Amino acid sequence: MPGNENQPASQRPRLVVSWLIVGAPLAYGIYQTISRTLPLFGG
Amino acid sequence: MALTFLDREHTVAGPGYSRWLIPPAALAVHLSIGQAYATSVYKNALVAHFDTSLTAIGIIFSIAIVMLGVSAAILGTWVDRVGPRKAMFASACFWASGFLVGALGIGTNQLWLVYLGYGFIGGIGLGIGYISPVSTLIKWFPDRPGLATGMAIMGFGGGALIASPLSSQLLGFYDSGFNPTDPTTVASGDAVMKLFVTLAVIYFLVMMLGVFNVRVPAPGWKPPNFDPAKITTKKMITANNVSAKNAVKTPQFWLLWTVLFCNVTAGIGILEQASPMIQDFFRGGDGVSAVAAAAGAGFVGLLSIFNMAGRFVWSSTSDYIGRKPMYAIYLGGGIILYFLLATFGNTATALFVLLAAIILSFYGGGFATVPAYLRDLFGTYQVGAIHGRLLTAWSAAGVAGPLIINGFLDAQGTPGELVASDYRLALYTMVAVLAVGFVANLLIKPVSDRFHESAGHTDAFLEAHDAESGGQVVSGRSS
Repeated sequence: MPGNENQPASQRPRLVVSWLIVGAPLAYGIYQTISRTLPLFGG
Repeated sequence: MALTFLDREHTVAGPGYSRWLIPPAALAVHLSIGQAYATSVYKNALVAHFDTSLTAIGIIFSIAIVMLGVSAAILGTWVDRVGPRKAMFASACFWASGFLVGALGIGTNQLWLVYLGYGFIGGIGLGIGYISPVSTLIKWFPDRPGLATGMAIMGFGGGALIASPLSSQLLGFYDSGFNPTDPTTVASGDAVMKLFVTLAVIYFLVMMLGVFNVRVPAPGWKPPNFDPAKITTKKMITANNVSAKNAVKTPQFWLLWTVLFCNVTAGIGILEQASPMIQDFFRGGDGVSAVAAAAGAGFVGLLSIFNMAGRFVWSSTSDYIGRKPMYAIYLGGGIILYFLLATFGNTATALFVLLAAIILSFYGGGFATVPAYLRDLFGTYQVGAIHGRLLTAWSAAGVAGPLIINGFLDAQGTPGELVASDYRLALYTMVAVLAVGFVANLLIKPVSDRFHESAGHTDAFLEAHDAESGGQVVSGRSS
């Protein structure tokens, strides 16, 4: 994954911000969807 | 010129540019355009606002999906030539404009403007956006193309997971009388108009992340410790290149078209009908289902997660086991799973959910693995354009899948009164559809030498740049 390769240190903040911008909404979407599936399992 | 950042010399990566900046760039685009699968959130609100039928509102989505296929097929060569940066920018402009014109249509009570905006203009944004990062990802990840395209195309599945709850909450914010958790309330047209404007701004900004981060690798770049000779010794992975014009003349293209068409048709069969289907499968003799409506909605959410996860997991797996065996699993496994679903699906809810979830993961995997399969067969030269042409199979399946399932169900009885046995014929038909795809996949062999390009044609984007700059090799900048 991102940290596995030798990257110039100056790119790390950009990598973190870029992944956060797409990762955070995706995590929100997955959380919301899983909450919606709970009635299926009697929750 | 303000748009000089879109020029080719700004699109070629400089030394040391991290290839791990490319997947979030691709995801930024695919998560945004994936909103297309979350239109059900405001469908009823638009029906009420325009005082029209569900079918008339459904046409908005249909136009968008048709335009996705048409624009990907027609503009694929242009996308390969101008590169991912300009293509992503064009996609963002079309996608955001589509929402704005759609909002104008809602505000002025002109449904045709919504067709034109979200459907036609937005649909072009969908098509360009869908294929824009694909060939770039394949070039940055020659060692793991399935993983790379799986990550991006997973975003298209994930986009709906984000847009659906976000749109519900925004509608609640713009219309105090609308309760997102109460299905009996409907948002006002004014709230949907404001939602469209908000989404236009959000998606344009997020897609700009993709525009600014995306780069193509400099000529001759390869990942550390990667030996291209190792992969091209495999029989089903070519070291040659085929142009998009020639690709459509090969039997391999049309066999793969059939494979994708069959896989998508079968998946859509379940996806389209998911919520009523689970309730019908467990309907008792008294006509009451053991599965509540809320649980049915939860089932749809669960399928969305498996659809998204399958795109990443199965596509990444294909890097290790090969593309042809992977599709044999999607289609052969699908045949068994569909048969079990039709025959024993009504014996236990857990079994039904498990079978449907795996089927949907194969559906998603089929979408995500196809660019890598195309790369294996036709090389990287115009893989984006070939992918665009292949997506017409998706548009065709989008018509065929619902037609098959709805056609059979309409003949069986009235919605809300159907039971498991009413679905059997439709599901066995999907088994036959998958069998056709399975055979088509088995027939795929390496492309004949006569379709191969001469040695100089390996990268459509760099070739176009060389032609413009008089043959000078691009040195690359990373602005």
